[in-house]
Order: sequence, then structure tokens, then C-alpha cells
Amino acid sequence: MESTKYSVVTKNLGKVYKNLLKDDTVALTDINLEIENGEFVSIIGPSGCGKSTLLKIIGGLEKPTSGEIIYSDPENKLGFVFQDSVLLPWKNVRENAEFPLVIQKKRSPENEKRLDELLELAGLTEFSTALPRELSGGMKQRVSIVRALSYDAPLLLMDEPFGALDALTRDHLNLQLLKIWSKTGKTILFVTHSIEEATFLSDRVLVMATRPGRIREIVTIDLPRPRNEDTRNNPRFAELNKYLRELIG
Amino acid sequence: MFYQKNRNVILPILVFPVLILVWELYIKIFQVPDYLLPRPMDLLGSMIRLFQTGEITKHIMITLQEIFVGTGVGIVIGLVLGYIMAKIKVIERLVMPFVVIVQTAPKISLAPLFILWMGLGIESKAALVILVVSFPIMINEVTAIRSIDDNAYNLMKVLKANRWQVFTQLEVPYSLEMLLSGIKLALTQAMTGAVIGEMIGAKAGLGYLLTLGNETYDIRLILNAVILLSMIGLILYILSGLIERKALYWKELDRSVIG
Ligand SMILES: Nc1ncnc2c1ncn2[C@@H]1O[C@H](COP(=O)(O)OP(=O)(O)OP(=O)(O)O)[C@@H](O)[C@H]1O
Ligand SMILES: [Mg+2]
Repeated sequence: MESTKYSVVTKNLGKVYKNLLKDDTVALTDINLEIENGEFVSIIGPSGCGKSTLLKIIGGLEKPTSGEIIYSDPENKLGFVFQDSVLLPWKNVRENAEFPLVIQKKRSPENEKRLDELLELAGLTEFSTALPRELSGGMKQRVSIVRALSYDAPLLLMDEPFGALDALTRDHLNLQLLKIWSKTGKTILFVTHSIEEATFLSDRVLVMATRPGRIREIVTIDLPRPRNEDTRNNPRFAELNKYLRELIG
Repeated sequence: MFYQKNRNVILPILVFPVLILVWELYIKIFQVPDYLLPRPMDLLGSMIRLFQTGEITKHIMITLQEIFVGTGVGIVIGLVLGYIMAKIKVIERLVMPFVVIVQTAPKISLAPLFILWMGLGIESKAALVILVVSFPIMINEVTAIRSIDDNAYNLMKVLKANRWQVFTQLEVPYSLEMLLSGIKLALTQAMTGAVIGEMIGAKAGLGYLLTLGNETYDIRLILNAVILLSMIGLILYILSGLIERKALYWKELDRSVIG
């Protein structure tokens, strides 16, 4: 087993939700994935195809009904970014970002230093004493990302993190996320509804189909890196978007 | 400006002398006999005498004791029961219907029962206060725990937080808000509970003085007890408001609304 190459491997993963009054929901069947270390993989697909379910299973928040998951990290440490930022309203920006270190009792000087660097990287330094209610949606989500990175987990799972933001803020945060990703070298699994977002960010895009939730195709995004505003003008960008759109149907 | 900032205090203070004047004039004009309504200065004199003899402090202390002991114990009981109900669905299904039934009945109506069971001492009144207080606290706690976002729990799970950490870092702070509004409500009801209990059967306390005054046609005693009770109520209200503001610094409190 090449435990060094793959961050996460799933084998024949399946998930069935038992319902009391209607038929069982087959949320996922036969999910086979090999996510490489440091890879940026997006997941797209129609609503209800099981994207969130897949992410939750990989994140250990739900148990699969069948199949198995192998993590490269023996402790399977990972960060999770939810669609709503889930910041604790009584803690300020820095305290929220520091929260995992408090919970895991890892408040060492070097961790604190890395936290400050991450806040800097996310452009949050000057807001570090602000309370969540004083922040815009985009800023909240940046805090939430820094929080997920604060304990240096190798894998970052993101479920539509920018779904509730306006297009401009979203584009801006996409660039910032890529910057953070290349600086930290994390593996990122990113669920989104936006085809353009998936193309812009990813090494590979996982296209899912519904009923039952399954993988339709995995599309490699061969756009050059580093990506920036010009990437969106690349003819290949439009081609890939068109291809993905047709796949989803 | 000084006036702008303290308007809430200045205006009532200005109204006060007017009130006293109207009172005085009313007695003069309509020749109200002394045993129905004493003159303001008379009343003040009798209040001062009550404090000078020291008799009144005993009654105040007893009522306060009932309120505080009852509220303290009631909060703890309400919290524990509320938390258990919020966490264990089966228990909620079993217990909630009864809670709703008891909740709609005026709990004060149990006062005679408590006094029969526990006697005229402070125990019966404290028990009544506990009953009155624990219900709103329990129901608020259930609502508070229920309203915590699923993803907040998911976050704790991803961070591999243990039960105790989930409790102290998430559930306690989140339920604090609901809890404090519950306590505010509970404190006013606690006073009602204690006083009504005392009126029905007691050997001391401000509620007892109300009944005593009534039976002996002592209008001054009744009015003094009422004034002291409103003062206690006001102090409790201000106190709980202060605690609320300190504990919920991260919320924008709507200060214009009372209650
Ligand atoms: N706790 C649950 N109990 C029962 N069924 C569930 C549960 N969670 C999800 N499902 C079902 O599983 C399927 C997949 O849900 P999931 O939330 O993973 O979809 P999704 O792809 O994330 O959708 P969206 O794009 O709308 O977020 C849906 O049919 C949903 O109704
Ligand atoms: Mg989803």
C-alpha cells in the first residue's frame, strides 16, 4: 500500500439512509476514489446526489453502510469547512481560529505563530479582535478556513464554503484559497455547485450523478498553474466548463 | 449630554414629587380618612419606625431567603432536567406531556398543599419557589440546546472534542442567552411564589405582613410591605439585567425594550 502517495482512498463506499415512512434512500453507491497528497479535487453534481454525504463520511461525521476508507494520516486529522461558517459568536476572530488548538490542547508557541501567519495570509490580521457579528460573510468564511487549518491537518474538506457569497467575493476568495493551498500544501476536497469554480480551482473534478449517488466521471483539469484572473480567459477554461456542463446535463 | 444619557432615570425622579403632591391633595380635597389612605409623610414615618425597631429586617430577610434559596435550587433542577430532556429524546417524549399539563395549571394553586405538607416555616415557601422557577428554566434549556446548529456539533466532532468539552465550550455558552432570559422571568415569578405562599400560611415574611395588616386593618403596614416588595422586585430586575449584559457582551442587546 503506497500510503505516502494517497491522502485518502475509498473502496466501494456506500451509504443507505433508512427512512421510517418511505423507501430507503441510497445516498451513495460504489464510490472508489484515490485522492493524492496535495491534490485539489472538486466534487460537483445535481442537488441531492450525495456530495455532502460523501464529504461527511470522509470527514468521519457519518458512518458508511459499506466499503472502507484509508487515510494516509494515521490519526486521520482533518479540517472541515461548512457552508455556514459556524463561528462561535462570543469569540473574536483570533479566538475562533484558535479554538481547535484550545480543544486539542496544542497551544504551543510555534502553533500560535503559525496561526498568526495563517491569519495574515487570509488578510485577517487587522480584524483579529472583531466579533463574528461585525464581519461580512466572506470574512467569516475566511476565519472558518483558518480555523480548519490551524492544527495543521493534512486534509481539508470543504462543503460549498463560498456558496452563500456573491460572485465577486467568491472569485476573490478562490484566489486566496489557491494561495493558501500552494503555501500550505494541503490536500483539498471541495464541494461546489459552481462549475466555473470547480474548473478554476481543481486538479481534478469529480462529477456525480444522482439516484443512486455515484461517480459519473472524473475530469482532469489541465489548466496551467499558478492560476489567476487570466485563467478565466483561457479558451481551455471555457471548453472544460462546457464539457462539465454537458456531463451534468 | 447628561440628560440624554440618564433620561430613563431622570424622568421618573421628576414625576415622583408630582405624584406625592397629587396624593397629598387628594386626601385634603376628598377628606380621605387615615385608615384608608395615610398621608405620604405619615407613611414615610411609619416606614422609618419599622426599620428603627428592627422588626422589619427579619421579615425582609425571610422573604429574600425564600426567593434566593428557591431560585438557586430551582435553576439547578431546571437546568439538569432540561439538559437531560434535550439530550435524551425518549425521556422528552415521556415527560413533556406532563410538563405541559402542569405548566398550564397555575403552580401557585399548589401553595396550600405545600404548606400542609411542610408547615409554616420557610421550607414550604422555598419549595413553591423551586416549583415556579424550575419550569421556565427547564423549558428554556431544552429550547436552547435544541437550537444549537448541527454543524456546531459536527465541528466539535471533527476536532475530536470530548463530551465535557462539548458541554463547556459549546452547550453552556450557547444556552446562556436563553438561560438568562429564563432567570429574569423566573426571578419575578419567584417573588410572586414566595409572597403568595407567605400570605396563605407563614409566621414571618413580607407576604405574612400583608395578611397581618389586612387582618388588623393596618393600612400603613400593608402599604409599607407593598413598597418594600416592589423595591425588592426592582432591584432583582436591575440585577438580572446587569448580569445579562455582562454575560452576553457579544450580542447586541435591545436596551429600549423592557422585559
Ligand atoms: N440524515 C439523513 N437522513 C435521511 N436521508 C438523508 C440524510 N441526509 C441526506 N439524506 C439524503 O441523501 C441524499 C443525498 O444528500 P446530500 O445532502 O448528500 O446531497 P447533496 O449532493 O449534498 O445535495 P445539495 O447539493 O443539495 O447539498 C438526499 O436524497 C438526501 O435526502
Ligand atoms: Mg450538500
